Amino acid sequence: MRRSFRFRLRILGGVILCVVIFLIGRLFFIQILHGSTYAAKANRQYVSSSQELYDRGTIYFTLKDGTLVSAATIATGYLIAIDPEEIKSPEEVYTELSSQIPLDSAAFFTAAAKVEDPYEVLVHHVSYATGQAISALHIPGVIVEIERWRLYPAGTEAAQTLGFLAYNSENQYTGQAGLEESYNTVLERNSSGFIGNFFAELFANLNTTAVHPQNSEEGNVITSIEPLVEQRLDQDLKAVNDEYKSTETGGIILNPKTGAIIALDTYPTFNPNDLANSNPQYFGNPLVQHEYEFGSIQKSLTMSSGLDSGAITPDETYNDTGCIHPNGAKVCNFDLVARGITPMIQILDQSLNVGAAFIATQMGHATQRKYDTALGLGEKTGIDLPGEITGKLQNLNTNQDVNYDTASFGQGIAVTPIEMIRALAANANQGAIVTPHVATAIQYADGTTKQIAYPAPIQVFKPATAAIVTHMLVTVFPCDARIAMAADPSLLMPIVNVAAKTGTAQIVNPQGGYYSNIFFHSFWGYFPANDPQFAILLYTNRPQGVEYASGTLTAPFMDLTNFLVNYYQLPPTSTPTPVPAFCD
Amino acid sequence: MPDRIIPALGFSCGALATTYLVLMVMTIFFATWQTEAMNSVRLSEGQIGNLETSYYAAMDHASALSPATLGFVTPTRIAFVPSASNASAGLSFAGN
Repeated sequence: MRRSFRFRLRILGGVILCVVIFLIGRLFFIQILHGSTYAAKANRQYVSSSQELYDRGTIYFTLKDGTLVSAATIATGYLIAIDPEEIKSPEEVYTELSSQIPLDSAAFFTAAAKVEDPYEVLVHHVSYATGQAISALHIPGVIVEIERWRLYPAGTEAAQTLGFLAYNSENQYTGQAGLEESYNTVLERNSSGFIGNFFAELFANLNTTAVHPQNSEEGNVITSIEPLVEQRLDQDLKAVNDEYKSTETGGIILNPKTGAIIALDTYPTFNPNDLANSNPQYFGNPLVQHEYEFGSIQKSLTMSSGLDSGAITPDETYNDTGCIHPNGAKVCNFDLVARGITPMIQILDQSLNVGAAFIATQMGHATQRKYDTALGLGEKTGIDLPGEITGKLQNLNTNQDVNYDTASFGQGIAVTPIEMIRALAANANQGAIVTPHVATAIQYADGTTKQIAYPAPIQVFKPATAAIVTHMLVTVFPCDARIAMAADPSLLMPIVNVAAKTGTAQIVNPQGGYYSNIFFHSFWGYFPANDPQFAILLYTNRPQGVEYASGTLTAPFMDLTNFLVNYYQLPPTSTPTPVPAFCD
Repeated sequence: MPDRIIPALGFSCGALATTYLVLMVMTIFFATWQTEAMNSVRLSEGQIGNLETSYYAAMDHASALSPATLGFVTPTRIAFVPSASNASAGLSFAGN
């Protein structure tokens, strides 16, 4: 009797123990693993909602003092809908609603007439305060639901870099361009799946039960884009594009030592807060997806390659005949003028195509090709933006002298703006190219921040070579600046030494050859020349009424330079560069 | 011995049941508090977004202002002197 009684007690004890384990485990799953799901459900008890509430991580700009400012975030408000069947007097409902929100009367009464449809949406993205006010009116037939949507507080600023959200072919609302696409797995928030069978969840998915892999990747993206610099760049790009009626104007401001992009944009652009009224033609990012023949700014790289390879020396001279005829083609200086015995530095000062071709001839095909390849031209930079293409350097795979001569001054080869600035920035970074990038860190939900590591700089030129070319480029800028200041007396000469080069390239005629009167303008510069902190590349495509880039892009470059010098409080250069004699 | 075991087990059942109810109440309370906090966070995020929109608009307006329209003129001469911090923290004076 006693033994059987003890046996039954043990069974009872075992059953109680199992029930305890079950209850504790159930609490763990409800509160810990599925807590967010229940919270979302409970959130809808504030007002009814017939759909999942949207959530997504934030993309931040970074002010110069490190403060993060949202570039893409989530706004909370309401959507207003009606149940036409419940509306007894549409006129009264319209009067009450239109006193709170702007309503199209025709659309309202059309929706109110659909008595067989229990749900007709009237307005999206109503502010929180207005939604609360409408909800407080308790209008029969009016449905007020919490709504959350993606908000881009900066509007059109860096829109093509930030990207936007849209439905893909699988009907998923995901990032479709820019950083929204590149960092979609970090930014998206998945509601946790709700598995009703406790035992199935416990024993079938042990590895995901405790920590959902997707949740561990979720975070916010921090970029190196400085919003006020970005704003200034946007204003200047728009001003140039509007003044010269160009088809497109773009710019990149980069830290040449790290590759961090401080500002980048093109104009025309679009407003990601109003995709419906935006032109899809501008949804892509030309800075990584379009290629251009940049023209004479390539000469700085040709000079560096020639000096670095030993093919030329800085004090060398050459005989400038005004025009040369490689392979029966005609290659001339911009003004067709022969300058006779000319020192190397004048090739950059006066932008002499014959001089650049001389350097190319001295280097030889293999050496020129080697340096252009080492600079990353014709290959992707690895920037963290989607859709990057590579430039076209096929001309450097031929044996035609004319192809190498034209490539030496930036014609016959086409590269993307991001490829171009990465290569050009080598002279601003002691001869090393860096990986341009926009995102610098991921901020996770647990408060930790992970810095994104990028490849180390790659040495292409010797530091001494970069220093020589920088010294040459410093003599170029004051001439262009003086011309711009004569046209606009409000422009000030920057208080730091600036290394710069303009480029005016002819544009390919699809029917053969180049247009004689349609150009692509570019401007490249970096400062302070002794220790570059900023590198700027500007371009404008097909400007009207001005032939040379010095006429279109010097003024905005100076404006940006002066803005950056003042904003970042760069100290003045002790010995300003004198204006060269040839400017007179 | 059996006389004590049955009441002990009965007491344990009661205690466990009570504990379960208490834990349920705590869970509900915590979930409510968490939901309210998350809702407050999301509302704040939305308000921050609106403030940031206003900030960008204000900065855009300020950046676009031409100094000439505000009565400023281009300086005729600019000179730079080294600063000296000989006052309270945050102030610096040129020269001296």
